[in-house]
Amino acid sequence: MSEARAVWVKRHTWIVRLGIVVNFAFVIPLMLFPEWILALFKLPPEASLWVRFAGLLLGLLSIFYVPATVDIDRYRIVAWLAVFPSRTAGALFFGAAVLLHGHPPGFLVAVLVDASFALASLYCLLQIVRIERNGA
Amino acid sequence: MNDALTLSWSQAQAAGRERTYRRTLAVNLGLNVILGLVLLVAPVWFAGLLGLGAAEPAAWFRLWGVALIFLAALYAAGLMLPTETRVPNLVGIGERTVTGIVCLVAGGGFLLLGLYFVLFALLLLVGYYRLFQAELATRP
Repeated sequence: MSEARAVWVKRHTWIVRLGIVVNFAFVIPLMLFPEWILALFKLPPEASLWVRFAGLLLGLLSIFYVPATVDIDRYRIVAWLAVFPSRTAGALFFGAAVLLHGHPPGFLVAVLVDASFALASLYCLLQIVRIERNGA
Repeated sequence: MNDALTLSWSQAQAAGRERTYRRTLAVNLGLNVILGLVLLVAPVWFAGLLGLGAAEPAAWFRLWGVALIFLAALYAAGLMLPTETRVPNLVGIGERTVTGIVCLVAGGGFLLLGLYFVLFALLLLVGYYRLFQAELATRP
């Protein structure tokens, strides 16, 4: 593996790992203190079970990002799927919920998180592919 | 010599078990995508169908739907190459078990969902175990 490729693989790994940590910063309060996190982002109170379940699914989704951080060559498809559709569609879903369907603006936090990590990891993946195609 | 002692027999066994596992997984992922779409498009109807009484569950139900579809997409690697990509398959079985147990513990209308997740977790666990037993037998 060339040095340049190794650098971008390392960057991708750390960005995805950071994304997982940030996700879990939402997962844990969503599961354990749903009322607190809803109030924090000024979201309307809901039956806590729905919120906890959404937190659980977000946590499970985040765990699926791990393989690409362990071996990007074997789990390259997981790295791409984490960008399209997972992070990208997550950002679009919450963006549409707020902008088109009038849901509370607190959900824009999810747009910010998903879009940031989608763009950052996409950039790293494109760099890795570019280096591989150039045969470096 | 017994047929079961030949390499071709072992390879045929492994291929058969891989087909069975992949079909089970494909059915499950298809059902998950359908469930996700229903949750996304008709959340209030689905809540009523399972008796999950909530005044306005639409936003969080839709979120479940989206997450289920994303999970199915992330599982694609496990479906295409089950023996080469072990982590998504193992994580997926664990994920179904945890989700199923949470639903069963929640009780009420969640029981059906819980049974669905636990049933497929067990089917996939057995299928994956048998696939690996057969796969190992092809490498004497």
